[in-house]
Parts: sequence; C-alpha cells; structure tokens
Amino acid sequence: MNPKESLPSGRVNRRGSHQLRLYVAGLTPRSLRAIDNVRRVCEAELRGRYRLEVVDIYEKPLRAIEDQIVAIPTLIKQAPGLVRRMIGDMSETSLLRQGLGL
Amino acid sequence: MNQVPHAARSRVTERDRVQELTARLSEAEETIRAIYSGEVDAVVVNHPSGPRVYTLEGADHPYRVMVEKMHEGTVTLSGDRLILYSNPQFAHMMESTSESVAGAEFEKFLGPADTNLFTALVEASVARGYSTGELDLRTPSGTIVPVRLSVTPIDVVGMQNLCILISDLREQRRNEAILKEERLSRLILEQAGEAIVVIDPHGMIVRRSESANRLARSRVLMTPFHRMFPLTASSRPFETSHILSAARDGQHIQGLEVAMPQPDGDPRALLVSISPLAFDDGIGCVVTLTDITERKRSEEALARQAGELSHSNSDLRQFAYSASHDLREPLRQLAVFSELLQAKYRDQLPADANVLIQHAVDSAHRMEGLLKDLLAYTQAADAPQDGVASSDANRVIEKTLSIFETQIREIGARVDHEFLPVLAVHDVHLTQLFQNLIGNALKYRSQEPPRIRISAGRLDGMWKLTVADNGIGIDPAYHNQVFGIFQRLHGGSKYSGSGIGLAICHKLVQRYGGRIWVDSEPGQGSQFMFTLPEKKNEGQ
Repeated sequence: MNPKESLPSGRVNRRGSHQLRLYVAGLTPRSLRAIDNVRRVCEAELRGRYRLEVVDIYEKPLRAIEDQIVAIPTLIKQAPGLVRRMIGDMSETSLLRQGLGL
Repeated sequence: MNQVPHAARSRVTERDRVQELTARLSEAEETIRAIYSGEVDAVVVNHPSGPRVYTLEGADHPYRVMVEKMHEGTVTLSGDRLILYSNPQFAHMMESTSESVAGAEFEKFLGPADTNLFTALVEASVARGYSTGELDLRTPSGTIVPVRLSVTPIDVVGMQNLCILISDLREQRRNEAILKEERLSRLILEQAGEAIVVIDPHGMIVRRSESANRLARSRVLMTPFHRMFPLTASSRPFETSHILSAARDGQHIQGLEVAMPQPDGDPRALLVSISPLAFDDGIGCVVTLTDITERKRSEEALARQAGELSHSNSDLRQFAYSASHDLREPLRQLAVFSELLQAKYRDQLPADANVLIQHAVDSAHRMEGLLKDLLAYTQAADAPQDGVASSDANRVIEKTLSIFETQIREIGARVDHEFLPVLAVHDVHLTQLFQNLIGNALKYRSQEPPRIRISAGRLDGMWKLTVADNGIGIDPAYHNQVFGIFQRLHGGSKYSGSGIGLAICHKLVQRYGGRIWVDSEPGQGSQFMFTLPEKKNEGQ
C-alpha cells in the first residue's frame, strides 16, 4: 500500500475520532519510520476511530504554510481536543501516545 | 450557548488561554530541541516563491540508490547543455566511463541530424514542464543507439538545469522482433500440414503442430514424447533417449521408417525425421512425422497387381505359345494331307472338288499364318537376350532396306531418310518397327513409283519419327482401327498379310512409353508417326 495514501477509518468526522496529519519529505528515512510508527499505534489503539492524512512536502510544498511546518517529520493532531504537534520519527511510543491523548 | 456569569466566563477563558500558551510554548521548545538533536530529516524555509524544503545529509539516500542502480540512463545538464551528472547506465550506453562523460557536452553524443531534434525537445520541456521523444544517440566509436528521452527542466539554486531520462530502444526493439518472430514461427508450426513436435532435453513435447495432435489423437503439449508416440522401429521400441542422444551427437536423421500402434486396428507406418535443437539447458530436437500408411498400402496394392499382371501375362504368353504351337501342328497336317489329296487324285476328282479342296488348303494356310502372327504379336516387345537398349536408327534403316532390296528395285521405289538419332530401344524392336512400316509403304503403293521418306523431330521430350509415303492412303474413319489386331481394311485377296503388323508396331512403341498414329487421306499417301525415347549418354 502506498504509504502516502490516507488511511481510512470506519467513521469519519464522528465526534471523538482522531484527525491526524503527518508531514513527510518523500522517502527520507525518518519520514518512512514516522509513517510506520504512527500507523502502528493508531491501528493498535484507535482502530476505526482515526483518520490519518500523509502530506509529502516535496509534492505539495504549499501545504507547509497551512500548519506552519518548520521541520520534517511533523505530526499534527487536530482533534479531539487542542491542536498538538509532534516532531521526529515518533519512535518514542510513550511520547506519541501522550501526544495523541491516549 | 450557556449563560455563564461574566466573571466566571473570564476566569474560564483565562485558564484556557494559559493552558493554550503553555502548550504552544512547549511545542516550540520541542521543535527547537528536535532540530537541535538531529531528529529531523528536513527543514522548511519560506521563500518568496513558496516554501523550500531543505533535506539534511543522508536523507536523500534512497533517491541516490534509485538513480545509480536503475536500468535507464539519466543525466543532468546545465543550461549550456554540459553534463553535470551521469549515472553509470548512461555511461555504459555510450560505451564510455562515467568520468569521461561528466563534464562533456551532451552534443558529443548526438549526430548532426539529431541535434535539432534535441533542441526542440528541450524547448518543449521548458514550455510545458516536460517533453519526451525518440532520437538516435551516437557513441564515440560511432555506434548508433536509438533512445527515448524524457526531458524535465529543474530549477536548482537559481540555475535552469535539465533532467533527462534515457531509455535504450534497441532492447525494446530486439524483444519486439523476437516476439514477432516467435509469433510467426509459432503460427507456421501450428498450421503445418505435417505432424511436427519440438522435444526439450528431457523428452517433453514443448511445441507441436495441430497435425501432431491429430496423429496422436490427443493433446500432446507438455507430455512425454514416448507416451504420445509409442513408436517401434524394426519391431523394437523407438526410445526417446535414442533420439535425444542422436541429437546431442549432432545427427540429423531423415526418412526413418517406424510403426505407430493404434488402439483400433493396424499400426500406422510413419516416416520420421529428426533435427537437433539447442535449449538453454541442453539439446532437444525437432521431430517430423509423416504418415505413409496410405502410400504404403497403395504401393503394396500396386506391387500385388503388378505381380498378378505379370503372372497373367506369362500365363497368356504360355497359352498363346502352346496354342499356336499345338494348333499349328494339326493345321499343317490338314494342309499337307489336303495337298496330297489334291496332287494324288487331281485327275480323278471333278473340277469343283479341286476348287473346294483348294479353298480348304488356303484356309488352313491362312489359319497357320494367323497363328504365326498371333505368336509373333505375343512375343513382340519382349526384352531380347542382348540387354542393351540402344539402337542407331540410321543403321536399322539401312539393314531394313537391304532386306527389301529386291522388291525396291523391282518396283522402282525410292527410300530417303534424314540423319536419324540413336534411340533408347532394342535393335530387334526398332528393326521390327521399320520393317513393318516400310514394308507397308511398299505394299500399299499407288500407281506412281513409291517415294518413302523417313524423318525425325522432337515431341514432348521424345524423338518423333515419320515414315511418309505416296501410297493409297487410309480413310480417316479407320485411322484408329488400323492398329488393331487382325484389322484388315482390304479383303484377303488383294494385299497379303494378316493385319498384325501395325498391331505389333503399336505394342512395341507402347513398351517404351511412346505413341504411334497416322495422318492420311485416300489418294494422298500416308504419314505414320511414332515417338520413342532418346538414348542419353551416361551422366546426363
């Protein structure tokens, strides 16, 4: 599966489901690791209750302005709750879970 | 919206605000920390023309590997069309080293005819962001390499460069050509009238013609050869291993006769031809199987018929011989005693008695003559003891003329002949032919002195000889009949002979595959024509 495709969830926009956006830079090593780590945690703890969008900054550089991206990889949690951002390859699972509010 | 007291609202809002600010601060600190400790691959910097992504070292590793290892050639050209970078494949395509390619002008690898094409491609790519086209590149040693170029302009730190992907079309065309040939040969094979199979080094049938399926009465593809074709040669099994080892030795086998047993009925006779064929993993072969069962049957039937015919022929001859021999004896006795009777009692018998006896004697003589001729006819065209079928027609004519010498002189006849060929015919038979024809020409003469002319010409690959006379001629109505046995057009008294002469000529000529016929009108003379084979020299 193309890692850049948005992973579907069963219930989009349902109150309480996580809306995530991961900014990557093509096939750089940390980008690939970030995609892998985020997806794994989401499938393990949020199956069916999340929506993950992967944005390749090489393909769509203008998207960086939207969320004021400074460094890659960056994961933005838009919902639920306050907007949070995390930087790095998300290998620290505890930090990732904390950031996702889990 | 809930009605919250004003004071409470501002307290809630302030608390939220502090929380938000704290979060944002920690995020900003986190960002700085992550960048500082190298946990990021790239940073995004804003630029008048949009965000720019700056990749840190090591992050572009996958791309480098792709470019270096990919099958296509790729180069980056500067605005002046200098090769800034070339991957190993492009250098290889141009039969050069990467070092000698980098820094060279791209034009170096273009023939004069293709330079304009390339320029057009570049301009199109700048106009549309991408262009692609086919042209010929040229290696330093002069080899022409047809390629497809994909050209993309890229802007690198303010410079307009070109990224070009190069696909070698030779391989593609080679594959297409191979495929086309494959398709063609497969078509030919499938439609072949013969049963043809291709056997791999392990004895499996990997290709076959439709006829092969029909012969085996089954689908033969991907089955062992010996199972589909359990052949025997000289009553012994015809092993696939033999075929394959013969093929490995480079032997070509032609026209080997084998038998193929049938579930219903007699085995079929086949002719087998085998040619070696190289496979990647050893030597296989191409086997052609020709069904000759029908042909053999016809041949056998023909041989049987010929045998029967020969039998019946010799029976006939024996019969004719003994008939004529045994019949002639009593006839001769009859003639002799009648003549004795005549001689002894001529004076004592009445006149008509003599006449009657004379008739009896004449009949007996005639009968004897007929039997002699019949015998001559059955024996005519037999192979004589001296086996050489070669006869000089000139000499035969001379001999014949000397036989008729007296008669010719007496009636004032003249016989001319051209220079005649040597014929592939026995002397004895040619002599008989000319004796009969010349004899007839003299016998059936007209009022004028006979003029007989013998000539030769070519007809259908044989010699055609003509014996032309100025005799009484023959009515066209009887042109066929004259060659029948005992056919006489004229009553017994005026012309002697039993009418067997032309029948013998006919039989003789037929024996050698020729024909005999006559062209004639009453009062216009006759032309008898017959064809015989030419005597060819050895080695022709």
